[in-house]
Amino acid sequence: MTAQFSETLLLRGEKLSLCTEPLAPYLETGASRIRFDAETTACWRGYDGTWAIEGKRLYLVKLNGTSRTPAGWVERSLADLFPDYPDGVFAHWYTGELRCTKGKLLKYVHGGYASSYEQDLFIEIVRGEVVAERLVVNGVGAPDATEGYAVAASTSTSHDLNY
Amino acid sequence: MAQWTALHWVDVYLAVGACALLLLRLYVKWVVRPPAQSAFVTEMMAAIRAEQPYDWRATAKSVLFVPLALLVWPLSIGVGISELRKPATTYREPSPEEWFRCQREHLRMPISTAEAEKMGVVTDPLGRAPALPFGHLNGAWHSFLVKKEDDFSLWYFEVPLENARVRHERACRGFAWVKARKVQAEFVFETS
Repeated sequence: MTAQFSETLLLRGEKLSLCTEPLAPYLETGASRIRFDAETTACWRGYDGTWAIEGKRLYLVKLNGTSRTPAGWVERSLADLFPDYPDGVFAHWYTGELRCTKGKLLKYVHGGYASSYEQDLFIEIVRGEVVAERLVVNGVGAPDATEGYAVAASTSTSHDLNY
Repeated sequence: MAQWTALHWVDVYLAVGACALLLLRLYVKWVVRPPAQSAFVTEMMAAIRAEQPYDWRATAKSVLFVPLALLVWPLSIGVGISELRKPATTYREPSPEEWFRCQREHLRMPISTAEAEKMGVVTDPLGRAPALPFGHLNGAWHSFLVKKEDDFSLWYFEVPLENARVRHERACRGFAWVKARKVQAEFVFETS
């Protein structure tokens, strides 16, 4: 699988690359009829979410996604998924660990979120609430190493998938 | 009549072998037909093959295999017949309950609807979740409730991470409609 674009987590004024998909469990419950489709192999989930931790709670605050319909590609937003909560949604369905990468690239792996970076910030969530945080230092990047999360290559999927 | 040499007997041996192998091949192709692939699988295999570079090594192996099989044709025929006599391996369609995350061993306790809804209370100080049982999943909860039939009972379940890694890759908690210890429907309210 191609390396995947990360989502974004806003934490204490910092914009972090989020390498976990907390919306996936919600979509799997079938609570929404909206389905996202991938336009590129670097984003199989078909959407890009911006999350925020406010008052020790995890919120989905922005969403840009795409769905393929017989009429063509349709853009999706947070308001499509949660019509009554266009400004933010409490992610109470999520329990687990969020992984945010920080610093320079140490080793690039062209698959999933497998690349390693100087630091990993793990945030433990229980039913949408932050219960613990830990920072893991993986090493120090080379002076010329790429700063921040990156995906080296992707392929558009829209031309080879027929309806 | 010309004297038959050992070479003549080798020719006869190879000719009989070629005929026997050809007959076996035709029998397999026309009588023992492999199960037809679905259009989806056919298209997918064609797409995979189109993306792969031509495999000269596989072709070379096939070309070498034919004279080798002919040289030891009695053995080839024996192997072919024993393969034909093996029972066909068929894909077992999973039973409907195997599609659920919750399996019998994950059922923890019977519970009433009111108790379940109490477990699913969601409150958010910023008002970013509906103050309803299971919050944003309330619609899915009601869709689950209407699946109840007279002889169904409601159970609370937990799929631990070690089980989830094998079957569904995620640990989860939820409720299931159960009949005779078999899951009939499920509602997941927490996943990791």
